[in-house]
Amino acid sequence: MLEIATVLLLVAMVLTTLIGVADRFLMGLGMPWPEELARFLLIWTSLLAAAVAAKHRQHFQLAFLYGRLGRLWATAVDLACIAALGVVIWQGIRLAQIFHFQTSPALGLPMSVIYASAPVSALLIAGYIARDVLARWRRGSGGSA
Amino acid sequence: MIVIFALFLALMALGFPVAFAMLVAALFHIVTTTGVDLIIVPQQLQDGLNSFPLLAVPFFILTGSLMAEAGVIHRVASLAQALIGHIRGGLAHTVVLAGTLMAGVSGSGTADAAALGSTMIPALDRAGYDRRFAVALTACAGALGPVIPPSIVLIIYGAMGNVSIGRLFLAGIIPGLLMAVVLMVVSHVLVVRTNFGAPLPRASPRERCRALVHSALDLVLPLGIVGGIRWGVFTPTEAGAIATAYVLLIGTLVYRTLGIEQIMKACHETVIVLGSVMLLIATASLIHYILALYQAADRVAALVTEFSSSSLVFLLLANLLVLILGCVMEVTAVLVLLTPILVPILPQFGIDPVHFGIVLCVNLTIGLITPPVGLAMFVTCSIGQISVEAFTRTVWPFLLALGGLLVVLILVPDLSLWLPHVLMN
Repeated sequence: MLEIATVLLLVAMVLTTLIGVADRFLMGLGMPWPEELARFLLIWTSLLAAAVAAKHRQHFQLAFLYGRLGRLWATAVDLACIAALGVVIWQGIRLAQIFHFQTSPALGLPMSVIYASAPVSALLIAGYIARDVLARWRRGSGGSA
Repeated sequence: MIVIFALFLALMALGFPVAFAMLVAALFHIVTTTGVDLIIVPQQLQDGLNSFPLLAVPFFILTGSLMAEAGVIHRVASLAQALIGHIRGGLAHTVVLAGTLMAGVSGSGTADAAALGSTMIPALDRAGYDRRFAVALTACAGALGPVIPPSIVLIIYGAMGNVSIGRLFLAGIIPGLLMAVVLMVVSHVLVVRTNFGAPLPRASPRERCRALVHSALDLVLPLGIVGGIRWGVFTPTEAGAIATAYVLLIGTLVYRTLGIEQIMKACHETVIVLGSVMLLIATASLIHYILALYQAADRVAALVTEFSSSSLVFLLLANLLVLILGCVMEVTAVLVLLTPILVPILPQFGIDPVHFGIVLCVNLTIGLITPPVGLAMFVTCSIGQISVEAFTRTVWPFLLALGGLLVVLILVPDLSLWLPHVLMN
């Protein structure tokens, strides 16, 4: 689901940019919205992709440490990450609320639509980390996860 | 300012993923010292991504993945073999030439190394080359990717440091070709010394023409990208979108090597790479927002000028720092961390940011093939089934030669700046 949504946004990003090029060469309207839409799509795509990467545990980590951490230690690191993401969720919601009535210059979209990306992504990433923590404890003994 | 860096490094050593180490260090600093409203955290994360030049990153990652799935490497490798396979150690030189051509169509060194490794390591194996040599060589040839345009590293550098990506692309061409020459010289010496690598039969002019025609549509792409940006037909971002569409078209309609399955796989890989790269860019912008509150760039400049005001000393110190960080940290992480600090102070030392970008890029490329965290190294080692230790014992002549070239590139800025100067002024 999440992957499909992210890929669709990625495709939309390519198409929007191509529309911008086509406009300049074929129609010459100088429409401002493709450029703005492409940037907004980039924010959403990037942050959702970050959640996909978290799902597959693909965020860069010092390789020689990975897998050598004890179970308690790994859990502590994960919980600290979740706490930090909690701040992003909480403040992200605040940000989206404050800017709800401000609209973007070209598209007239409420800025809350764009600012919602950070809390949504942080929530998903926190969810995936929590999944890893639970899986680690359910598996019982064994240091690495 | 020192505190935030120390905390970041400590968190990384404690096992935090790099992006989260940045996030937690920044949060800690805001809460304990800066006292600004925490609302800037999500705001800066998104602001860092809200950039039209950065859009080129997903496009070129996607283009590279699609290229890999479409089997471009097979066409490019047969062309390289038809052209230079008949000289001594021909297959080894073929790998370097194929790496150079691949670098021209894709933007990522790791992806190039993976594509090269999976096709060329077995081929080198069959031709009687030592396995360790084969793995080391393909890793190095793949690492040409970030220097020869299009390059994701140069796009991120240009977008974060406000440097013309078009100029950076042009500037990367000569240093990238020099790297290829250096790799060929080293592999020639190794081939002669160890006495493997018999030359392959010479291809007839007809076979050469056929190979050239067969891969012509692939080779048009880098020329189109660089030319189109140079003559202002499109921006690097638009070039990326066009390249994606172009690869999809030739892959599905002309060569017919791209099916739904391959496209989905390429998209999946792109999303994962994109997620980790973009999260780093986002969290780095947060760090840089805080550093800017302390005028970090000015302080670093003052610190260095106190020591020496020579541009050469600055370049050498900066490269030493990049080399050390590149050995323990991911290439992208070093890039997003250092670019916004170092680029603003370049004018004080009279260094052209384009020159610095190329030097930084070559330096980081060396990090791709250096233990303990070189990604291109891991990819090729796992394809070739050799240990990192064996890799390290074989790769050092290549590393030494590339290091020497790096010093030359630092000392002679014209090697990078001549081409953009001639073509863009």
